[in-house]
Amino acid sequence: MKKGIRISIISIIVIGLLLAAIFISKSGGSKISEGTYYIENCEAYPNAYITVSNNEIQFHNIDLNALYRKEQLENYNKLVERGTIAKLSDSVLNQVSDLNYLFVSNAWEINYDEVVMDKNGTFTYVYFCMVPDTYFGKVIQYDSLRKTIQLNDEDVDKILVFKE
Amino acid sequence: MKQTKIITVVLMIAVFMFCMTGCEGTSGSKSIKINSAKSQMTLTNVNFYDFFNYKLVSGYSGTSYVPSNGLNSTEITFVDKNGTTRTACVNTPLVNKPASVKVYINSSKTKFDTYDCKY
Repeated sequence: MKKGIRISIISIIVIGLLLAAIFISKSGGSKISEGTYYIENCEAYPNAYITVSNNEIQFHNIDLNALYRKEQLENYNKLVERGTIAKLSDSVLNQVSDLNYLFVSNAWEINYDEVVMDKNGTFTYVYFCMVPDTYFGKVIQYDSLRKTIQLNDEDVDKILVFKE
Repeated sequence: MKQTKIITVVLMIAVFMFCMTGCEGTSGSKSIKINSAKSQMTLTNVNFYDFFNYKLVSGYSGTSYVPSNGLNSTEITFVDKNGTTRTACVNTPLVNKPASVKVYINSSKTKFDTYDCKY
């Protein structure tokens, strides 16, 4: 009887380890898996979604400028006032701060070899999709286990979650 | 003999859980790692006064994005993984690749902690 219990426990552990290994291998690693991710928590844009194809990510049916551009411009103005960064020309500023142009009208290419990336947990990866040498862009968080893409923001009420 | 087997199983589970949850940040070490080619800065257990948001940040860990002007300056403004803009001040620009750097922990820059730098 005791031997039977022991074998059962070991079997459960072995099966658990195997299931975990399968889970990990199916989670797809750090690269965002291709597909369509639908909004989960935004009443203003209930039809918003993200498409991921190859190394490109694109937002649809959402106005990212309305959500985030004002705060990014405020940070920019603060940095210019502090002398941290040089003031950009109006045309360049309009271009680099236009989040809809960067992520909605066009797809953003994630170069996985070069992008700044942080591993934020066992299955969670953070990608900094920033216009080079500026403070404009967005931070994207991918959970390879839950298959979610999260648009991070310092204002927790503005964090958007999209699920495949 | 029975105890040995139990301990072995427990250790196996512990090692597995350790691998599953990741092993970064558990050593208690403190450092600043810079990858200037990628505009990347990784802080491990770093205390700094955030001159952008005017508050002390303690034990901060994580990878952030730093445009090149940040690494060329003693005032490092970076975007962290939450999308928050922060500014830390140091005694020497990190682009000079110092072996260690002083990071200021008060607004008057009279107090600091020293950290090893990796590149």
